[in-house]
Amino acid sequence: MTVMHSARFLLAAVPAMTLLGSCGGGGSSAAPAAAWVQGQFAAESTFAASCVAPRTGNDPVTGKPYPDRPGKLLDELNWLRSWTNDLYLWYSEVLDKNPASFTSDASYFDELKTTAKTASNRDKDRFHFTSDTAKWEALEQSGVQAGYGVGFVLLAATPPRNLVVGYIEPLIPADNVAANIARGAKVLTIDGVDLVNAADQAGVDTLNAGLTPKSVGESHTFSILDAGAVTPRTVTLVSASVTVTPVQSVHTITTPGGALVGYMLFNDHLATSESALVNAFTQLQTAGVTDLVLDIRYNGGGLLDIASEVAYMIAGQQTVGQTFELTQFNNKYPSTDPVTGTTITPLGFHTTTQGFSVTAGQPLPTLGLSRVFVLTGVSTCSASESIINSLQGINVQVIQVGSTTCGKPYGFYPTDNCGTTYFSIQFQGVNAKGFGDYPDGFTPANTVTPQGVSVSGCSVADDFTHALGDSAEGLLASALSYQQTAVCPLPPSGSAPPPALGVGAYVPPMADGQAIKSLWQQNRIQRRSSAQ
Amino acid sequence: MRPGPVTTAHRIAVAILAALGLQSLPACAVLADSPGTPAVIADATAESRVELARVIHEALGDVPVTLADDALTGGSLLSLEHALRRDPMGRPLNGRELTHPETFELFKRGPRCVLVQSRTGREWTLHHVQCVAAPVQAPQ
Repeated sequence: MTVMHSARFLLAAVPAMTLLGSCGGGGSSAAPAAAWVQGQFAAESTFAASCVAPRTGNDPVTGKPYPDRPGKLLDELNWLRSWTNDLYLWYSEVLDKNPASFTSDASYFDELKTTAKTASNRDKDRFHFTSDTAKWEALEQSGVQAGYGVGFVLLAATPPRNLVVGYIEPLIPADNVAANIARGAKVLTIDGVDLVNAADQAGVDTLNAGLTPKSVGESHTFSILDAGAVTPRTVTLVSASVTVTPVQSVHTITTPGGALVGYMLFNDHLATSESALVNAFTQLQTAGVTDLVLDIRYNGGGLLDIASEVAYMIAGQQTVGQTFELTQFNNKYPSTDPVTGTTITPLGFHTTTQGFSVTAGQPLPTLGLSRVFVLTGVSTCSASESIINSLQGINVQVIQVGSTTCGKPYGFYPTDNCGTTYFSIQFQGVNAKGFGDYPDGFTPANTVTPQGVSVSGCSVADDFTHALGDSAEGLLASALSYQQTAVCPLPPSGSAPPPALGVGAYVPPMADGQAIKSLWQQNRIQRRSSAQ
Repeated sequence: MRPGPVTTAHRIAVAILAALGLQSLPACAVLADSPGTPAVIADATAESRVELARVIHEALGDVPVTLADDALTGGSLLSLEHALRRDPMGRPLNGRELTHPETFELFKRGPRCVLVQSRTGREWTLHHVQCVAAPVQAPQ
């Protein structure tokens, strides 16, 4: 069992009389000292909630006193060690180091992961994080995020950096409308600091502060070069609460061959996505489309149930009774979810709404397609990849156009101890065929240097010279071409010929990068290259 | 079909269920047989926003919750999720989220506007909110 959350869960659940025995802010005795013996692990409960700085008062989530008790750093490290050994997906690949030789939770936690590499020589575990528990447990209205209403894409995080505008939220704050920013605009400076070349820490801090404002109402000055422009211009952006539109640009396209193809830009697996997706698929179903282009190039995932709904709305009846995704834990828990204690059962393809933003139990629309085109990039991650994998698991053809996805078939139960919430990979999702091994992502089949699992389709660089949803935009154009001919354009189809312009003129980006959406809690701009 | 994980939302749920057995909650009641007609707030005011925030606070305890000023004006369902946190590459930290969002639904029941917590069925009458039947959603 995962002790911290589970223990608090149980404390809240037991009857009042039982609670009387455990109230008062947790026990007062420290965890027993444990001498480190390599390969021997005490139960994590031995060390749970034994904290250097015990929280006092009530846990805002449970309304009960925190279970924290006075302890030592070694107790917290021992908890991490035992918890990791119990639940980490690759626990057997963690080198068991003596926690007593570490001076902080953070430095020890960094060591509690596999050092193995993927086939493409990336770190197998690139998803190992912590968060302040109070910040993690805060809730916000779904779809309301702080930012500028501008989706940036970082093509290069180190000098010479390259940051461009990927898309504009339809509900961009009024203060930023006047900036008239469009997809493809390059950011040259933020608050006077050279974004492309700045190498000093103060400059990098300024850049990150501009990209990640700490509060609503902050103003930052950007110098941008619009697509096709020769001369930069200066705009001021103001941070605000932005209601994001997770599904955009829903429309149909009639190909030269006469086929009616549906298109939608699907950016986020949020609760509000449910109603937007129902509307979008209803629209396309009513229109009678015979193919769908699902644009998830900037979709980093989110609610897995939303992904399941999307997959059903694409494929329809053929999904009924099938596995969308099965969660697999480490080999200590082949049949039981170690966190919930329940029997592991597969998640099916949802055929009805889940009540996230549409009343629960409503039949979902569906296109009943036997194939789908997905537009992807390096930001296509996690739940978005589940859509691809789940459909392939039931032999729905997925045609991938774009670039390799991120490669995250994994997940975790965020777990608190002593005020820090730890994100450590605990499970892997597999499809109906039992496949879930794509740590290097999915890669279009004609990619020159394949990186991930090969999927039918075309390698095309993101095309910032056209609006998303424009039939001339590189990825969409390639998908439409492939729909008619089953042949990929010669790569890179998404690039326009370099314009014959003067020094400093706009050159269309021909690369793929990471989407920056909500601007909070990120530190994106780096001084130098880092492993990722 | 799938068990829910033991995360914040579940701890909230269990804490509330436990609380229900321990103390009276005069401001709320268990869901009536007929919840009424799904509704939206017709004219959001500072007073209605304060009342909505107060009721959400009562339902969820001291967990910080950020609401938009136009909450429940465009639809009858209000969903709350963890404040989105992203990894250094800009992707959601938890891109494979197994939990369900916390949801509330607004109903018009006669002259009353009633907010119902979907997971528990607890409901609150909002005295400072004017609500009307939610429009039937049309395709985009």
